[in-house]
Amino acid sequence: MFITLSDPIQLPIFLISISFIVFILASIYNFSVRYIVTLNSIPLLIAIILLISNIYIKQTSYNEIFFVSSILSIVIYSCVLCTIVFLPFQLKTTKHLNELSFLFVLSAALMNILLYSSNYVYAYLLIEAIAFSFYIFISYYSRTLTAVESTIKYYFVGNFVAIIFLLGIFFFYRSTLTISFDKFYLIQIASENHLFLTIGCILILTALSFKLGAAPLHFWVPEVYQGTPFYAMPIVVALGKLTIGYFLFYFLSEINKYFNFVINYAKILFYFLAISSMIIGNLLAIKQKEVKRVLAYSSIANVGYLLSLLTIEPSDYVISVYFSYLLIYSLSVFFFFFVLSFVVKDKRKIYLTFEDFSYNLANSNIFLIISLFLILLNLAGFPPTVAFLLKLSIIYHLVSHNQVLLALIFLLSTILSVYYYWVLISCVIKSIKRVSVTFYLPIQEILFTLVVLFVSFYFLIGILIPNVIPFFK
Amino acid sequence: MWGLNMFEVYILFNILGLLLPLISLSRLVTSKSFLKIFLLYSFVFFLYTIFLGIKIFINGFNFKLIYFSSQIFQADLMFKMDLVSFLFLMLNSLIFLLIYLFKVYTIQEKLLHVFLMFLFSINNFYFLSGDPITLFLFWEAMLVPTTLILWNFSSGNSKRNALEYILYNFTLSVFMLLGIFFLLNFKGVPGKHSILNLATFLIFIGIMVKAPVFPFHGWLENTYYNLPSFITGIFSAILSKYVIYAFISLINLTPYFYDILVITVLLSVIVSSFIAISSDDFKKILVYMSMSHINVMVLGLLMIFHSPQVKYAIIIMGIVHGLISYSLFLLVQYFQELTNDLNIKNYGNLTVNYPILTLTFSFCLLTMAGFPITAYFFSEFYILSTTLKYSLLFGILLAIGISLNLIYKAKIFYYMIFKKYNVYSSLKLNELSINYFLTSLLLFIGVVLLTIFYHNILHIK
Repeated sequence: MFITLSDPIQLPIFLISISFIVFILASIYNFSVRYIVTLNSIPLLIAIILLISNIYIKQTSYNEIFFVSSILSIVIYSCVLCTIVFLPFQLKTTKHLNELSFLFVLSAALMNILLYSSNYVYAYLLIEAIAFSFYIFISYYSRTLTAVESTIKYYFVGNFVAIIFLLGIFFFYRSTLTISFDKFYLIQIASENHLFLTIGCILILTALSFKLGAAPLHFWVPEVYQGTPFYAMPIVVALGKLTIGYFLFYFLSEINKYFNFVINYAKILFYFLAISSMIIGNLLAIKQKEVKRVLAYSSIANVGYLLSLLTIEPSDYVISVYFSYLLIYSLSVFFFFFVLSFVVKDKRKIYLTFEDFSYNLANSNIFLIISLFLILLNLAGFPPTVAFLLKLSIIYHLVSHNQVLLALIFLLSTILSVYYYWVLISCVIKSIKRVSVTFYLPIQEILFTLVVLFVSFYFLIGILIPNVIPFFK
Repeated sequence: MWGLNMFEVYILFNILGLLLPLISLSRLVTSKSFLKIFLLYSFVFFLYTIFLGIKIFINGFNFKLIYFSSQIFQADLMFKMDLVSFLFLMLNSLIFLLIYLFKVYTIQEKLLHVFLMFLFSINNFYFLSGDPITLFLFWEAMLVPTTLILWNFSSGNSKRNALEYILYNFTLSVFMLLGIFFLLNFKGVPGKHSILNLATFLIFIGIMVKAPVFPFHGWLENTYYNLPSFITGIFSAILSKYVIYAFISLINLTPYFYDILVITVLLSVIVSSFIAISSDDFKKILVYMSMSHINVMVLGLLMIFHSPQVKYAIIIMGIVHGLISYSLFLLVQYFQELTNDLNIKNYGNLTVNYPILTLTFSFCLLTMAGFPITAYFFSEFYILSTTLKYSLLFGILLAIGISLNLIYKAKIFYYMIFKKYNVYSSLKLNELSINYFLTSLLLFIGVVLLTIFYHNILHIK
C-alpha cells in the first residue's frame, strides 16, 4: 500500500483528498486552530517520509531526473509544512486558516504533479491550476488597492502567458502529433514541419520565461511582489519559481535530446533573456527604496544567472549546477520571506521600507536576526555561503564553454548587486544593535527560530562540506 | 581523537572559531567574559599552530586535507599547511592574541568582537587554503567582516568608506576570478601558454587592488585612516599579506605585460613615498608607508621568476612588516588617545621626556627603514639586488623609491624626537604604559627570532 501511495502522482491526490476532508469537517464543526494545523500537517509529514523512503527503495534504478524531482518534492512538501504549522502566527486573524491551509496543500500537491508530468497539455493545466490558488493568496487582504491591482496584474499576465503557451502547444502538436514527452523518440519530423516545431518550442519557452520573470518580460514582477501579503510571499515567490524553473529545464532537455535543430534558436533566446535580465534586474534594484521591490528586481537578476546556464551545452554538470542553484536560491528566498512574515508585526502591511524593516527586526529575537543575516548573505552570494560556490561554478561553466562575454556581464552585474544587498544587510546589522537579547520566548517562536537557524547554518556550513548541497558534484 | 587526524581536528577547531562569536550575543556573555573566551581560544590555537609547525620543521612534511573532490571544477578542494602557511598563521594568531591582551578589553562593543573573531577565523582559513577555489572563497569572504567593521566603526562618512572599499575590492577581483578559471581550464593543455600568461595577468590585477598598487589605491586612505588605529594595524599587518600568499599560491608563470607591471609597481613605490613625504599627519604617513613597503614586496614577488629563493625572503619581510607596522599603529592609537592630535609638527622633545616611548618608537621606525642587522634589511637588500640583476634601470628606480622612503622617516624623527620649542601635544603625552611596552617587546622578540633563523628559513627545502 505504501509503495502505491509513494507513487508521485498518487501521493498528491491522497494529500488533496485528506486536506479536503479536513476542510469540509472543519467548516461544519468549527474546529479549533490546533486541530486544523495538526490534521493538515500529519499527511504532509507522511508524504515527506514516503518520498524519502522512495528514494532509498529506487536507488538501484538510479535516474538523474527522477532523483532531482524527488528531492524537489521533498523540499516543496517541507516548505509547505513549515508554512502551515506557523500560519496562525503569520495571519492577522485565524478566521480563514482552514481555507488557506487547504489551498496551500492544494498548490503544493499540484506543484508536485507538475514535477512529474511528461505531457505538456497537462503541464499547461497544472500551471493554471497552481496560479488559481495564488490569485486568492495575493488578494487575501483585498481592501488595499495595491493588493487588488497586483492580483489583477497577475491574473492578466497569467492569461497572456496561457495564450502564448497554448499557441506554442498548437504549433507543437501540428508538427509532432503528440502531446507527451515520452513519445518523442518515436517521431520523425518532416522537414517542412521544422519551422512550426521551432516556433512552438520558442513560444513555450517564452511563456515559461515569462512566468519566471526574465527581463524584458519582467514588468509584472515588482508589482506582484509589492501587492502580495507577507504570509503568501514564500510560496508564491519561491516555490512557484522552483517548479517552473524545473519544468523549463526538463522541457529543454527533452527537446535537446530529440529535436536538436531547435536548440540553437533556444540558445539565442536565452542568451538575450539572460543578458537583459542580469543587467536590468541589478540596475533597477539599486534605485528601489522598499524591501519587496529590491527582492523583486534581484529575483529578475537571479533568473538571468540561471538562464545563462541554458546557453551552453547541457552536460551532467550543467544539470547539477542548474538545479543546485535553483534550489538554493528558492530556499533562501523562501526563508527570507518566511522570517519576514513572522517578524513584521502589522500582518496586513504591504509596503516595507528599509527603516520599517530594521525596526520590525529589532523587535524580534536575536537568533532570527542572525539567521536572516546569513540568509541574506546567501541570497547575495557573498562568501562564505553556499550560493557563492554555486555562482562560482556557473561562471566556471560559462568560461569553460567559451562564453566569456556572458561570464563578464554576469560578474559585472553581480558587482552592482553588492550595493543593494549591502543596504539590506546594513538594516539587519542596525537591528542587531537595537535588539534586546532574551531567552524567554514563547514556544512557537522557539520552534520557528530553530527551523530558520537550521536552514541558515546549512547555508554557512555547506561551503565547507559541499556534499550537503543537493546535486552538487 | 575520534578517528580524526591532527590536521582535521585543527580545521574543526577553526570552524568552531567561525561559530564561536555567536555566543557573544547572549546576554549572559558580557564583553569581558567573551574576551576571556576568545583569549583562551586564540591561545589554544596559537599553541596548536606551533605544535603543527614543529612537526613541519622537524619532520619536514606538509599537512593536507581534501574536503571535497569536485567534478564540476575538476579539482580537489583542500586545506594544506606548509611552511608558508605556518608563518602567516603565526603572524595572524600572534597579532590577534596581542590585540586582545592589550587593547580590546577597553572596548565594550560586542559587535566589534564578533566581527574581529570572524575575521580571525577567515584569515586562518585563507592561509590554510590549498587550491585556487578555496583561496578565492576566503579572499572574498574576508571582505564581509572588514566591510562590516568599516560600516559600523569607522569615523568620517563610514558608509561611503565601506562601500568604496567593498566596491573597489569586489569589482577588480572579478578579473582575478576569470584568471583563476582560465588557469583551471587550461592548465596542462598544450598550446595554451599565452592564455595562461593572460590568466596570471588577470590574477595580478586582483592582487594589485588588495596591495594596493598605484592606479588602484583609491580606497586605501579612507579605509585605513578612518578606522580605529589598532584595527588599521590589523589591516596593514595581516590583510595586506593576503597578496603574498595569493601570488605564491597562484602565479607560476610570468604574466602578460611583465615589464609594464614592474614599472607600475615601481611607480607605486615612488608615488606612495611622495604622498607620505608631503603629509604632516602621523597616521597618514604610516598608511602610505605601509602601501610603499607592500609594493616593494610585490616587486620582489615579480622577481621570483628570476630568483626563486627570494620567495622566503619576501615572506619573512612580510611578517616583520606585519609585526612592526602593527606596533606602530598601536603607538598611533596611544598618541590619539592621549592628545587627540596627529600632526607631527605639534610634537617634540620625546627623547628628553619619555625615553621608553622614544626607544620603542625609534626601534620600530629604524626596522621599517631597513636598518641593518634586522631581517627586514636582509630581505629588502635581497629584493634590491635581484632587481638590479634583472635590469639596471629598475634597480635604480627601486633604490630611489627606497631612499624616498627614508625621507619621511627622517622627517618623523626630526619633528617628533628631537628637541624643539613651543610644543603643545608632547606635554599631554605620558610615558609608554606597561601594556604597550610589553606588546611592542613581544613583537620585537618576534623580529629578532626571525632575524636569527633567517637563513634557516631561507634555505629550507
